[in-house]
Amino acid sequence: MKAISTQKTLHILLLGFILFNFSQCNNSQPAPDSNIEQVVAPPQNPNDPGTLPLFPEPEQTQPPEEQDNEPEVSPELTAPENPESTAPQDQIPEIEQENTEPSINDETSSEEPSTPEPDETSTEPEEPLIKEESTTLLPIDAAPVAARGAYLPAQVSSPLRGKLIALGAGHGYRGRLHSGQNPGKTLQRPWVWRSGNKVLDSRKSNNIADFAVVEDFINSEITHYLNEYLLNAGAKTTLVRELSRQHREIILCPNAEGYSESGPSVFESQNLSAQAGVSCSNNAHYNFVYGNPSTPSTARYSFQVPASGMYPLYFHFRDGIDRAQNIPVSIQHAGGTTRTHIDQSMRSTSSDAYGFPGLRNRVLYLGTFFFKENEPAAVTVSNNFTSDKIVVFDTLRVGGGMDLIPIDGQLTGLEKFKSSAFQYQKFLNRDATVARLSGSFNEDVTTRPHAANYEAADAFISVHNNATGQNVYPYTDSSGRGSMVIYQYGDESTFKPLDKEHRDLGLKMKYRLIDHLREYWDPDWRNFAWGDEGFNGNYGETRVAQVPSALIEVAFFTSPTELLALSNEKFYRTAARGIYQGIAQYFGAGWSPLEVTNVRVTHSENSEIRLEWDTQDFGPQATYFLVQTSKDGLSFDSGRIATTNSATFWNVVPGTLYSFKISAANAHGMSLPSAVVSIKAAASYDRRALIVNGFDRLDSRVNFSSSFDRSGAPVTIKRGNEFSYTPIYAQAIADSMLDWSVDSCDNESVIDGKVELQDYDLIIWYTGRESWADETFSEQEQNLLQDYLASGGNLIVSGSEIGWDLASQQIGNRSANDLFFLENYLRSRYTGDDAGTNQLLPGISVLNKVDAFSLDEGYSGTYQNQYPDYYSPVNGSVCVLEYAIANRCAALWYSGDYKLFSLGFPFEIVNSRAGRASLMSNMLKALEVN
Amino acid sequence: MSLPFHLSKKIIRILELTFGICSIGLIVVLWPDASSARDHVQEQSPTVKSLHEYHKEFAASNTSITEQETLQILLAKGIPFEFNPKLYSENSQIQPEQTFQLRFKNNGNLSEPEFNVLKMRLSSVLSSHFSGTVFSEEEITIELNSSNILIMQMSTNVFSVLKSEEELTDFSESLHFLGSLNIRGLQIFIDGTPLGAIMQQKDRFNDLEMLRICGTKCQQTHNAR
Repeated sequence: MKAISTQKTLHILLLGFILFNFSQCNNSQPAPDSNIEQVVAPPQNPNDPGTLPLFPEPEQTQPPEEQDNEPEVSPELTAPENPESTAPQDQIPEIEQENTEPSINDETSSEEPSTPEPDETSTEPEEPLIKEESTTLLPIDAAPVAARGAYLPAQVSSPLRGKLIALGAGHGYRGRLHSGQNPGKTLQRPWVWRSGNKVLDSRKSNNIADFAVVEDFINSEITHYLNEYLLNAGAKTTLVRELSRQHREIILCPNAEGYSESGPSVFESQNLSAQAGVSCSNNAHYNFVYGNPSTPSTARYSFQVPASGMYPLYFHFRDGIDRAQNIPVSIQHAGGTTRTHIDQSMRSTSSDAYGFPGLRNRVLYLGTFFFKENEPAAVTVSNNFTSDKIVVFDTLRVGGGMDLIPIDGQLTGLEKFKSSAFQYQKFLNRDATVARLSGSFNEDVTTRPHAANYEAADAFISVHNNATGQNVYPYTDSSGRGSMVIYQYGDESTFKPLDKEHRDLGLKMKYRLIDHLREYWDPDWRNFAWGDEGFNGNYGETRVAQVPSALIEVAFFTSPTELLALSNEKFYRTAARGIYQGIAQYFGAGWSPLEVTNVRVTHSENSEIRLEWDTQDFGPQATYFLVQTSKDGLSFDSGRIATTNSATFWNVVPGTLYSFKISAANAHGMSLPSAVVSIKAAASYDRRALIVNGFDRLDSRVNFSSSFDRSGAPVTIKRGNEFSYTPIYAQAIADSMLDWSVDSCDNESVIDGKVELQDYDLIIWYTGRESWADETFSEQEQNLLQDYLASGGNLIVSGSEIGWDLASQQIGNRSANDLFFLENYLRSRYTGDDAGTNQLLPGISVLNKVDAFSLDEGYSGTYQNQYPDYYSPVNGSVCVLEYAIANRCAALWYSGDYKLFSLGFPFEIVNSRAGRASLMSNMLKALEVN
Repeated sequence: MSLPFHLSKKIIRILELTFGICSIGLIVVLWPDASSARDHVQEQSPTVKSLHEYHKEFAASNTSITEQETLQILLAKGIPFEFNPKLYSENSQIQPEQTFQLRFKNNGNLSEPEFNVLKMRLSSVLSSHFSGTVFSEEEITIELNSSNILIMQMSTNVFSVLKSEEELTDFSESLHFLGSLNIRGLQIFIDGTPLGAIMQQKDRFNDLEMLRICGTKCQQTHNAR
């Protein structure tokens, strides 16, 4: 055989090289900063190729007598193939530039809903849109685009929009009497885990160990996130059981304190208020007025919250056939004014189990907003619509509150969200047809679906977690693992057409949950098939439902592996998202996109602010973004639409602090918001600071045994990481009165090269409670910081686990460079894992003007101080802050070829704004660039 | 002035060799990355050890640390770990209640050992719900049919022990373990009537009873305004 010559071989390789690169050119996506195209490409099919349906090809459903023994499924278990792909361009609102405070009377609305009908939306454009600008341009102080419809942009046109989903987190406190026990409250599903000789029994108060899992509360945690996803997809939700952790509550009853009216023709009804005899007086009546845009009338509910925080708003009323559907509501909160609409019309139900229809006690959720302590706030309801219907002015509730319905004759003294559905339905003033009785005892199981029936919801979803029963101890993974569904499915004598809807909803929810958990949590997540064929009568919670209904058992808390998952907030979010996707599938909707990443905000030319972010490479794609702005990092406006991956703001006022968060969105809904970033313009740009958020950890859940502080007052329970700490640093810099400009970003932006450390005179890098599992400083981050410091930079690092992680003498280092980085660049020698105190002594050396201060114990607004590191000086550093325990150094200072503060505790949990300002000011002065 | 012919050929060959090597290198470097979200998940997780292993490591530097304290540290730092069930099996078995003598029929495809496990577990579970009830052997029968569906027949006398929806739910939940025994489904009959039919009747009765308790509030014709 004639050998191929070397020359010919090289020719072949050269040709191959040319052909290969030609093919790469055709497949590549435009770079994010390209001037060619800035509109996100049409979304991929949400039927992600990585997730295959677990069922075989769908079979035709048959009447029960013709059933074979294969599980029957409804067609289209996969997501629809051609979901709404792009936002209709003619519905993207113009940026409003109003000079006056917007008033709800400025806009009139017809009785018809303002949200577009699906068939009115434009079809997918044939070509990607090309924008002249490479970024969305937004004036910083223009009035935000008010949300139309149910506080979602009109671009959300998913089939889920407007659907009423009843959500029930299973169980909660109920009475003990009907179990033959002494009167009092009891959890329904406390859990016991045996560790050595100790039994961690959550039924024994004050003995809820960190590791004991209480299903009653875990169900609530998962449902919290499910509620968020559904609301972001345009659905309305009605809660069978209170979800809000805000224990404070303000009730504004009609014709009572805080309530005022304006305008003509408002009448008092003969009928009692929805909250008469519960939160309002026994004789409280609601008011009503007919729609009239020409001479509008309003009811204004004015209040001030006793402590700053996030408060849900609920509107209680009694429905009827003559109530309007598109009633304007304006919410004045700390972040500005949000406008929305509510629907008070009666929902039709064929059931005769609840008495005559009409005048049902209903409650609508208006949203959760930030309110500031003792600052005036208000909700205004108007009759500014054109119709012959009325609007009812009834009761506004602010916050979740405490449970004031006695259990077995006694008040629980606990937050409402910990109580069962029965308790909440009684609070909603619903009679025994809903808040069911069994003999003379409350009956919680069927109360839940009855609440959904009463509201004529479009679906009822109940969230639970599983167990294999008390007599199969010790618990092992072989006892039961994975997700399971429960739904009612009758036999020949009891089958109802609705049973097919139960099955369709239940199986879609379950299998999408499993797919999603396998993709984002554990690729081996199990399918527990028990229940796939339904149950006939066993479960009252699903049997009684007269709307499509299913109960999802997310995981087994008798499985050691899944018990860990059930202690992890990231798992709650992931599971909730999977459940939401299944519900969306049932209603023929696509899915909202995943959260944005690499969020950064920097100064650009001409004193403008440039906010940028990236979308994730997988999952449904975003077609627009909601950008929310705040001046205090806590209270955000309703948001503005950006159609590109960046937004440039002008009219920036030097010295003003601006914070932003971004939600990705498409026609099917919005993602959860990103972490908050902050920026502060300076009079000059001689000193530039960058705040890097390295606190990604999200695992710890709230400690439900610590509802009260030491004085006995209930405390607000915060989540493990609220991704909102950057503004605290930026505010401290602003409060220092030193002329530093501040940019900020997440650590991924630095890792990915989107933000260059070398551009800044000072880096403040915080890791919060990030620890070994998530890595405080990865090898890549260490390298970047080492390069920065080698060039003479200035650095403040803050976090409670940096030393423990990088030293990790107990369990080994994640990176070989960890200890070297800690001691030679952070100039910190790890000495101990837990300083054992929240108190710090007055500063010394360069911090000698810093007074003593304390750290948050979990009650002061950020998060609990846990295991703060203490250090020893090394390689030229000196101790400048000590804990109030002898010889435990809390912060080190180094000044040599670079300057550094190394804090063994999170700066953000320093109690009081003044304390943080003092500490930051003194650190900045020490670091001052010549 | 042009190069001599033999030098031109050499230069061309050197260039061709260089291009060939570069093309191989670029193909290797530019080969598409097929990573997916699934890979993304797996890359980020540290290797999981057991609680016992971590305790041993911690105890090496702190001999007084207990396993419970180790557990709390791992939880505080979000470090994933695996349980070793064996640690919790010694002297910790909750002894099942006295098991009942129940009638079982195996017409399914479980092997005898598997069916024996089923019998033992079911007896234990049922005894915990119906202990104290006096009933004859015929009042509960359990058959695994040819489709591996469990048919449970019980008398009204036995069923009446489950006095509330909550107890019925508890009973049904205690049978979830059947899903890990390759059983495909469960049908319950009360004196030959499907449980679903029994409960439908009860539901209707309850609806009417609750309407009665609600009284005029539920029965009056409302003035909507």
